[in-house]
Parts: sequence; structure tokens; C-alpha cells
Amino acid sequence: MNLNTENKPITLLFNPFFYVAGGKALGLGLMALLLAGLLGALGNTHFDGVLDTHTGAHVPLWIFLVEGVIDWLCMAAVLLALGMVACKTSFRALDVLGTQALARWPTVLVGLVMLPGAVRRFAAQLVELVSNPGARPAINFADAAVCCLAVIATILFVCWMVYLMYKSFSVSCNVKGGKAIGTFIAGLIAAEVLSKLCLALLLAPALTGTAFAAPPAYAHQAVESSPAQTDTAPAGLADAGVQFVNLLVKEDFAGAVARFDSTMTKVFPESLLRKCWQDLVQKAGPFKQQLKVRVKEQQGYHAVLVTCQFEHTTLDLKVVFDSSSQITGLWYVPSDSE
Amino acid sequence: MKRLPTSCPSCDGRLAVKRLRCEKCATEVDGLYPLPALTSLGQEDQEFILEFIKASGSLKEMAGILNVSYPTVRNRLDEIIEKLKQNQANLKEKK
Repeated sequence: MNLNTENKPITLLFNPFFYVAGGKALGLGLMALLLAGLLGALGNTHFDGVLDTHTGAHVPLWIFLVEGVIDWLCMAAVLLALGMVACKTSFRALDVLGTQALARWPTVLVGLVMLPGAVRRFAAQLVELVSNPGARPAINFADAAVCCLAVIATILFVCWMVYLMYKSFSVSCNVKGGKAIGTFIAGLIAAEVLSKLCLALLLAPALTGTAFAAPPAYAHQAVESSPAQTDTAPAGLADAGVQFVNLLVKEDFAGAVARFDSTMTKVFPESLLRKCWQDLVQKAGPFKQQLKVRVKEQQGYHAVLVTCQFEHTTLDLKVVFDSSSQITGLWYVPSDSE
Repeated sequence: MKRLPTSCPSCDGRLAVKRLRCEKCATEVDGLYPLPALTSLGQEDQEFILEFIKASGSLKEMAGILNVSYPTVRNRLDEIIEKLKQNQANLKEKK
């Protein structure tokens, strides 16, 4: 008797669950999730949804790891529920959890192809073109070529991941044919929505505790470490940062939100900004004064760091501006001068 | 080794045993004895069932022996169960 398929390498690529499932698949899958999170943190690649891959802000490593875990759990939970309805016989939850984790291993490859700086540089140039149609940024064609290749590779890897997820569902829950395809597509859509909700509900409040910011994937390229003060900052940007902080101090949140770009306006409404500021004041104590202001530049974005003294501590409010001087990111970090 | 035919080459109907012979004294018994349900399965399915019994009905152990995953073995067993159910249902219909 032989259950093995004729072409083992092909089966391993497109249906590894024929050979691996349960605890072994779970172990391998968790390792893949960990690796994808680490690579994501290195390249600022966020897997912010079951099917989503975006370059975004640099945030703490745990955010990248949690994103992967949330994506995996959402997909597995939805397919477990659908499997109970669609499957005539019993199946093990461990198989669904393990094979769904392993099915996400192509995200490691996505993390790798998104590592080159060329991808982020070209993405920043595109953002500048879209947000400021009159501008003519110098396009680096080598960056553009690398970026195009990375995007094509990412699409292929995501398609491969979706196929693996389908095979995982089919093998683990013993569902086949049209019923399996229909159920899986419904599950994929539901899991995508669920993962987006979970990320918004779980990560946004966590971020407001440590950083005063929009969800990571939406806050484009917040500046992290560029000690040299830039000479290329548009005139008046430092003043714009100071004025923005003044608006927060006066609790004129409507005025503050009016300075956000369209993405920030969508994900960081006035009510959330008010809550974040009030939380900050509760923790750091009442605002005392602004001590100094600096401007840093990275990949086409300018961050104005306004050092603010509160009753209990001193913090740098980091206001990130895009090329059209709209606010595209907002953080607070312990002050360098403290 | 010759395979036991289970279906009629003419009409695909299920075959039954008409004559049995003692290997020791050559006594022959005539009658009409239906074939056991398991003989309605293919050769590979019968071998799978045999291995499954030898593994004390442990799917996990079967997965280890066959070097495949647990759900692959369980799905194969589910397929065989489905075939047996279908064969029994067909037999009942004919009766």
C-alpha cells in the first residue's frame, strides 16, 4: 500500500499538509510567523490583515509579531467554525491551527523581498507624486525596477499563501470540490474583515499607550533615527510643528485634525486625538512648556520633534510631515535631552 | 497472486460464492454465499484496512507507518467508510 503521491517535491510545495499537520505543522508555522515578524520589523513591512502586506511605520517589534499572530488566528478561527458546518466527519482543531500557521510561511519570502531600501524609497516617491501632483521628484529607475520586481514577487507569494490556506482547510476538515472552494472563499473574506477589526481594536489602543500614533500600517514612514538636523526641511516646518503642539495644548482638536493628511484624518479622528492627549496628560502630568524644536528627515518625510516639558516628565512630540506639509504621523518618545 | 473477482464481467453485478473446496480432503460444498463486505473494496483499500487493524486502529500510528500526516490518513479512512456505506446501500436496494 502506498499513500505517497507521485511527485513529492511538487506536493511539498503546494500541499505540504499531505505530509505535515498537527503539532509539527504548528511548530514550523510559529517559527515562520516569528521569522516573518522579524523580517517585517527590519523592512517595516506590515502584515496588517489576512491578505495584506504594506510598507509602513517603524514600530516596536512586538507589533509586527502580533500582526502575524492575529492574521493566523483570525483565519484559523473562521475556518474552524466553517469546518464544523461543512465537514461531515470529525476533525482536530490542532490540524486547522497548525496547517493554517504553516500556510503563512510565504510571508517570510514577502518579508525578504521587501527588505531592500529601494522598495521604500520608490514607494515614498510614488506617495509624493500622488499627494503632490505638481511635484516632479527625481525618479531612480533602478529603485523603480527593484520595487516592481518586489511587488510582482509579493503578489505571487500571496497567491501561493492563499492556495496553501485552501489546501490546509481541505485536508484538515476533509472538504472537497465546489463546497470546499465556496466555503473557503467565504471564510477568507470573513477572516480578512475580522483581522482588520481585531488589529484596529487591539493594536490602536496599545499604541496610544506607548506612542501617540495612528495604527502602524497607516502612519507612513515615521522617522526613527536620524540624528543629523536636515538642511532640506521646507521653511516653516518647525513652526508648523510648534503650532500643532499649541493646538493640542489649547485642546483645539478640530484645528489639529484639520492639519492631518487624508489617511490620518480617516484613522485618527478628533475623538481619538482628544483621548490620546488626555491619556498623555494623565500619565505625564499637566503641560508646562515647550523647550526646543528640531527637524529630522528620512526618505522624503520630515519629522518635527517638539520637546515638551510636562509636570512629571519631558517628552519629544514627533510630528511627521509629508511633502505637502500635511501631518502623516504622530508619536511621542522620551526626550533625548532627558 | 490471483485477485478475487467481486463483480460480474458481463453486467457488473455483485458476485457470490457458489462452490467451496477443502484444501485438505478435497470435499466440495455447493451453495450461494455472499462475499464479505470488505471484498467490495479495492486491493489498496483492503491493504489499508489490514494495516489499520494491525496498528490497533490508531490513526496516529498509521500516519507514522505511511509517513503522511494524521488528517491524510483520516481522510483516506473516511473515503473507505463512505465506499462501504455506498456498497451496503446498493446491496439493500437490489434486495
